[in-house]
Amino acid sequence: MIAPSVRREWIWALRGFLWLLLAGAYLALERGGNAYLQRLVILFLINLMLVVSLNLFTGFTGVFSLGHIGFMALGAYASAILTLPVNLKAVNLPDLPAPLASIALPFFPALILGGLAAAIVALLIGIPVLRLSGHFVAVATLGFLVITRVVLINAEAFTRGTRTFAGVPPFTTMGWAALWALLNVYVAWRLKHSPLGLRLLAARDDPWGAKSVGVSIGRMRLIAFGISAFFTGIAGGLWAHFLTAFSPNAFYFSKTFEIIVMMIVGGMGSVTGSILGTLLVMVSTEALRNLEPGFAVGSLTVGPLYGLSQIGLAVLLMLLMTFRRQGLLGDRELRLEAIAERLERWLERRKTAIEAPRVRKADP
Amino acid sequence: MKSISFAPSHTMGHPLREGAGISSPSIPLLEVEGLTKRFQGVVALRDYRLTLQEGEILGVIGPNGAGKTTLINLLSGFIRPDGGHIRFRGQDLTRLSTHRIPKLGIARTFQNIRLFPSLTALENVMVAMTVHHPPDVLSTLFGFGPGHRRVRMLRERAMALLEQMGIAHLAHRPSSALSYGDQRRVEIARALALEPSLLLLDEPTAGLHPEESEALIDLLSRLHRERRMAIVMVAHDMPVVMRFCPRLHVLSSGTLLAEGTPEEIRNNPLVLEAFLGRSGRSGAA
Ligand SMILES: Nc1ncnc2c1ncn2[C@@H]1O[C@H](COP(=O)(O)OP(=O)(O)O)[C@@H](O)[C@H]1O
Ligand SMILES: [Mg+2]
Repeated sequence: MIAPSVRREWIWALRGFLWLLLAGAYLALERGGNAYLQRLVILFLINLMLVVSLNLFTGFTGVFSLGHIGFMALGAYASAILTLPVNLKAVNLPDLPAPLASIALPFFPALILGGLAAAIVALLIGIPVLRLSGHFVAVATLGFLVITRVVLINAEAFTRGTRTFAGVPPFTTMGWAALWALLNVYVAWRLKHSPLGLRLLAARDDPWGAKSVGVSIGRMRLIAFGISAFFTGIAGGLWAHFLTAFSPNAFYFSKTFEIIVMMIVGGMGSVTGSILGTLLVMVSTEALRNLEPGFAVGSLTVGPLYGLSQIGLAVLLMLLMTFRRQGLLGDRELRLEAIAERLERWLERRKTAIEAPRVRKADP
Repeated sequence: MKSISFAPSHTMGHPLREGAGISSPSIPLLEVEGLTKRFQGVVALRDYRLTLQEGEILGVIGPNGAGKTTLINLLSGFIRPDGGHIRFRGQDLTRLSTHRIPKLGIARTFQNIRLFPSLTALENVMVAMTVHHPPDVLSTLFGFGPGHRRVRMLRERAMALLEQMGIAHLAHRPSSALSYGDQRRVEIARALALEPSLLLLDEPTAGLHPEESEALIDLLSRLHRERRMAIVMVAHDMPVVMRFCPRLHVLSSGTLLAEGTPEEIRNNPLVLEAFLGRSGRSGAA
């Protein structure tokens, strides 16, 4: 609800300020060269993509997916196989089939192909699975995650099985990650705020009501699933070219859990909530992780606490389920318009308070 | 076959509303024959038949559990019949997916209102507008340019509909925050956004105060005069039905008990027995 009273200048000023702030922070990081912070930011942007994409499906359709990390794995392995230098392929992947063995693609096309691979698999499994009712989709996607892992472990010619897939070129810069994360957030935002998004939300809110206005529930879910898997695959590709070495273990329950907690903390169905959720969870787990080797409070020394960050995540989830099930934002968005309106009202109130301190406060 | 004796008497001149039968089409808008639906042994609707012309209004009354909602669900494709045909402008509906039916020009409302609670009143209507103006890539990806103009056009038309329903001032409220009566109006506006030639209303006045239902019926009469769509209205509320519907069907335990003008129905001994003898008017809920 955008109150017409809010002056557009306010919104533009806020918007400009926010962009300047972001650009400034980006440049400072890029120039400042704090490697730890840079890595953390890249990881944040990749997690953000995973969370926004999962939310684009689960939040917008109301159907839980437990298999999204499988799409991340597909994007990671597919793009890494494509960019791996030919001489490394000869050593690490001697059994790779002919056309793949002799090529090494640049980063961008490899990423896109990784995303497309994930999207195509999503459409193939989505057509039979997405007609099921909500809970069964969750179970079926969990099955997909398990199958993906088994396939990755057994397709040794492509993945080296359980051994580490190493030597991936470190192509993922902060710029690449920021660009893709921005695009992902933009697409999710547009999807929610476009006519297509209205149909998606209608299908989620009331399937019968949606059918009565000609919305096909299955098709809506499939569109969201495909787009979501595409960006999840891209995030996997970025992640692979960030870490440069990984094994199938990276793409399993603990990552799935992490992403789901981030989404729930932010609010299912909220794009801006996903940003907040990812930020909050990463900051708190990072803080807890730094405590894991042990720490001292005054004269009290605490020994190593490995797993503290995982426990922290689990406790956070339980607290949320008890006290604020909808997460920080529910399915609402943090809107500049609303912030500008509040700011303006607050200033107005200050002014009247100064001019006439006894005047009764206007109703909010 | 009952339908044979029924069809000629109908085409010879049923009490159509003023102006509704200007063009006399060779095929009726809706033709239903032998329609039957069972739920685990319970026959919810048995061998139902109906011929409806363009622009005609039919009222369907009957006690609770008579099969009225089942009839609406069948006509709108939400459930599949166990037997019989539903032909809309000659096309058989019984094999179509539910979501394909609105595009043909059949709209419905629900006995228990089914709005989209996280959308505003306006957005609820806009969703229905996308049936005839499907979302394209431009309007999905860009909030400016030609895509935006399309969305603005949808928004303006949806707004005009809310205005017609007298709830334009509620356009930007979440639909879940509206009163029951206003939600009903949003639901009807949403159905009208499909530009239907057949509107199916399942107890549109249920849960409304008498004045509210009066107002709603006035509104429906006006909309019918302006738009000329055919209407099948299920209702409990006898005065409302008698005022709005020139032709009535009485259902009881899934069978078509009687048919005729409100006057004929009022004096039909079968109906009196079924209604007053068993559940009475207080059965309305
Ligand atoms: N989905 C269903 N499953 C089982 N029985 C149903 C279902 N829908 C309706 N019925 C039964 O069919 C009969 C007619 O119901 P309904 O059409 O809802 O009646 P009305 O709308 O006239 O009150 C009732 O006996 C009801 O219990
Ligand atoms: Mg009913």
